[in-house]
Amino acid sequence: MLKTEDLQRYYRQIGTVDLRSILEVRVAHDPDGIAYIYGEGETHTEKSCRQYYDEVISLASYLHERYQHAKIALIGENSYLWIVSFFATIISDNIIVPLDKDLPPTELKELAQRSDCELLIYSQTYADVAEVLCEGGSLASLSMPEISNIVAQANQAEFTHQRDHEDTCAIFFTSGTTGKPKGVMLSDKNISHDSYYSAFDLWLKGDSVLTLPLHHTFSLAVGVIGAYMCGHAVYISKGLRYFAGDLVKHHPFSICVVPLYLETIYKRIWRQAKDTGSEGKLRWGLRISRTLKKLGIDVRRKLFKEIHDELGGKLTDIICGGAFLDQDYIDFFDDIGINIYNGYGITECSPIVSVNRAEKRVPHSVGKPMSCLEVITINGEICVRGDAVMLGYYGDPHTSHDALAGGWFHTGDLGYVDDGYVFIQGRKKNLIILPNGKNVSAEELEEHLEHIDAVSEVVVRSENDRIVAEVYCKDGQNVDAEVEALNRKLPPYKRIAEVRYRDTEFPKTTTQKIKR
Amino acid sequence: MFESVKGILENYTEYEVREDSSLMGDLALSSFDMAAIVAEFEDKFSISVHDRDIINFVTVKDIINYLEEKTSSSN
Repeated sequence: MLKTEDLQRYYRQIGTVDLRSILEVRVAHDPDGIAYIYGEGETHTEKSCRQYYDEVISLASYLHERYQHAKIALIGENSYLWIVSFFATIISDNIIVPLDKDLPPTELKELAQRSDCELLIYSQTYADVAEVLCEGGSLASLSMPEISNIVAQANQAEFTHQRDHEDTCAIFFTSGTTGKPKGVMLSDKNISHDSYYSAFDLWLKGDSVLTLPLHHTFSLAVGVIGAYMCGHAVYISKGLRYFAGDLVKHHPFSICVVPLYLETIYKRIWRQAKDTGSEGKLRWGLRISRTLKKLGIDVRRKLFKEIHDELGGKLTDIICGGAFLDQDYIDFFDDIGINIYNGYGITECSPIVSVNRAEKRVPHSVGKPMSCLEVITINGEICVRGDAVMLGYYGDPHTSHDALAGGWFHTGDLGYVDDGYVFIQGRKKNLIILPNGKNVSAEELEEHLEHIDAVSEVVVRSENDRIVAEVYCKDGQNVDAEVEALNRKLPPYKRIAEVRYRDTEFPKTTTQKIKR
Repeated sequence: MFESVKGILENYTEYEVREDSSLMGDLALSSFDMAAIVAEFEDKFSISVHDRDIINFVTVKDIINYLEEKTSSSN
């Protein structure tokens, strides 16, 4: 097992930081170290750094012989082969387009076409979706079982081609405010620099369980690349349903989550306390813990041992991003002995912009900017500059130009920077950011609702983390059934939770736009 | 079936559970709640629910229909 300081020293010696060199450093010094674990019981598999690297290079070589500078879409549940496909596509000098598996096939097809994909890599679970996407023959396909056969032949494969690390290597779709998802173009330099510097800024101290969907840059940057760099094994959880059990079985030291996870764990702890009649004991414990901590005595892990056991027993650090996290949750977890490192990110910045560090966490702040980024505010808007900032939006030079005006990426988030710490206060534009980290365009939902005949006017907003549609209908008609039908076509996170009816039209601006 | 489903859902929501209640709207259930609820259905009805089937659950009635179909086909 490599010492942390040795691994950090090797990583600091990298000449040019790119994804391939990040993989190679650990392989060179920790070849037998476990990089990934997946499966259960008899199908449980461990992949060493050497195996992982060889399999990535083997697939990269295969892809490079057939495709160069091609866009390759990737769809599937979290898996080891998903991760191998991601890295192999980039190293092979192609462009990866990770797709959100929860989107309807028609929308996925539109995204694959819009990003000019030539090949689709898919897991067997999504074979039916792959069939829809490949209809018409313009998109070739490669299944993960086929990839499994390709990488099975990996044996120290030679593949020396080096890609230009400033070229686009990935397109990630993100909800824009205009209703149409935007394809964020990131280079190898963008992704590798953000992951590399964030790993140094917040060095993970032990193994982790990966649970966030891999098509999110946050999951990739911290949960995959960051954990790999820090020399740890990552257990790849099969998904949300298995998360609680996986914590107990695999005893992670750190996890990377969105606020919804913390809110759920918090509620579960209190519900259990209520069910067992130990609410009072928990409250008393929290008070004692706070008091003793002020006196420099830390007995939190003993005091809340039962809670820790349910979280695997070793969980100490949780990195949280993707949406606003209430300070109360941070304080609660701190009181029971778990550090929450709250941060701020946006896909356009690969994605981590700032994070609270181990040495100092400032309440209500999303921490200090990554070492490779500068953050300022322009007219109250958070703006970012540096190596992790995207190249632009695919096929949309006009929006790219506006977003990157003056050499700064304009995030659309309002906030301020105080003593080097970033504080977020809200959104400049109308984008709903849910506690699960998903971004939903209010305009997109409004457009869908406007297609319902009876709806004259509609405004969609988020209230208490639920999507609410306020509608004005002709003749006071009810559209509950139509909204339910619409919800069936939408992925769960975009569903409208409540329809609120108005008797009068919405107030308008002088240009007849609805005042939101 | 409704009573069995209701019994499980009531552990996760403070709102009244009706057949036409929407899961995310009326009952304010999160994706995390749904994951735990489905695990309970699997145990209670000795069935296996595919991850992708969960996406199709919009109302309580959808769950009932799904479970009725699953339990009858497994008998």
